[in-house]
Amino acid sequence: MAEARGKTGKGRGLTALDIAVIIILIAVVLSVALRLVWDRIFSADRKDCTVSFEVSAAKSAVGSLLAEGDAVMLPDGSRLGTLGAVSVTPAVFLATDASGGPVEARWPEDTLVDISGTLTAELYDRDGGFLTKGGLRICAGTVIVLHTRTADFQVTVTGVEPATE
Amino acid sequence: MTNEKTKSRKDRQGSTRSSGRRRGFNALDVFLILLILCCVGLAVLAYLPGSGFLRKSDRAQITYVIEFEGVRPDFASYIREGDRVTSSEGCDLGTVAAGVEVGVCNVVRYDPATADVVSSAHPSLSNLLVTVSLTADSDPLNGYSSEGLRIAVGAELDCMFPGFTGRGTCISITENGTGTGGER
Repeated sequence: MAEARGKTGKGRGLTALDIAVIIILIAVVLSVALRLVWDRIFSADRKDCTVSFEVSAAKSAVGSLLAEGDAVMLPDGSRLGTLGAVSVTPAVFLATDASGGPVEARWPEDTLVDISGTLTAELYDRDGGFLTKGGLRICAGTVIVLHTRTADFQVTVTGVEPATE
Repeated sequence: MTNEKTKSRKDRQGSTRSSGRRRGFNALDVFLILLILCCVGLAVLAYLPGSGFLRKSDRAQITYVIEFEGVRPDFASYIREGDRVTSSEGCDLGTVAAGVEVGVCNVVRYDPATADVVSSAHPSLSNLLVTVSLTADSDPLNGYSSEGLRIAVGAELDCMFPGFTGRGTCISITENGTGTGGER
């Protein structure tokens, strides 16, 4: 074929068909590579996990909008899990007492609140840690802005536990 | 006779070569390549996690309140009903639906003498509450957005009015009904 091309198509240059074939070949190679990487990352078992979290000094309006059973979404719009029990208390701030020592005080009602709660999420166990489907590591200390349908809140993850069967 | 055959074959080969050389890269080739690239691009977009592509999105008429904390009270006069609101990135955030409400900007402190938290009004600053109406994209899970910018309680918005600019926080949202439009 190469000979035939050499005889008849010498200096013919790239045609649309050639480019289409090249693109398809590149797509095939890329898809195989992606698949291998994907499998490597997500070959581990999916696990239902309970993620506990805290929200510090959120607007009280946010606290009143969070309810058990709400879908919790990641910043990219994909679903992380479902909200479990939530506790809302006036936010704590650090002040100085009469002796000059630190003392915890609470913001007045309907101003700022601290929220603590849990959510159940399907996570991927990898190297003893947990990842979301998008590859985001969820572990104690992870700080991330999550949202329900109508509220945004920045959480600090305080723990991740696989659900017991 | 043989020479004539050879000659005519050579002529044909010559014409094939010249036509192949002339063919080059034309508009149809470009169109085909673009078509293939579009197909690949669409397929990638459709399967990206969290991609809004191919996702149904409705429109909803919403009214939401943005609170600007610690602002000089006279700034309220620079925000008028009917003013268009945009984000700092130029996204449409809607139209001011009502007169600006000037609220108290509370300063909270701990009183060591009484061991109580004391709240008092700031002597010179106020909180401005601006009610905005917007026909937003509405998603059953991700809520409301306008031109990709999420509108949610607790979300901070860099707002630009014709006579005022500031960073506020959305503190409430009310859906008034289904807006015009349809699937995105």
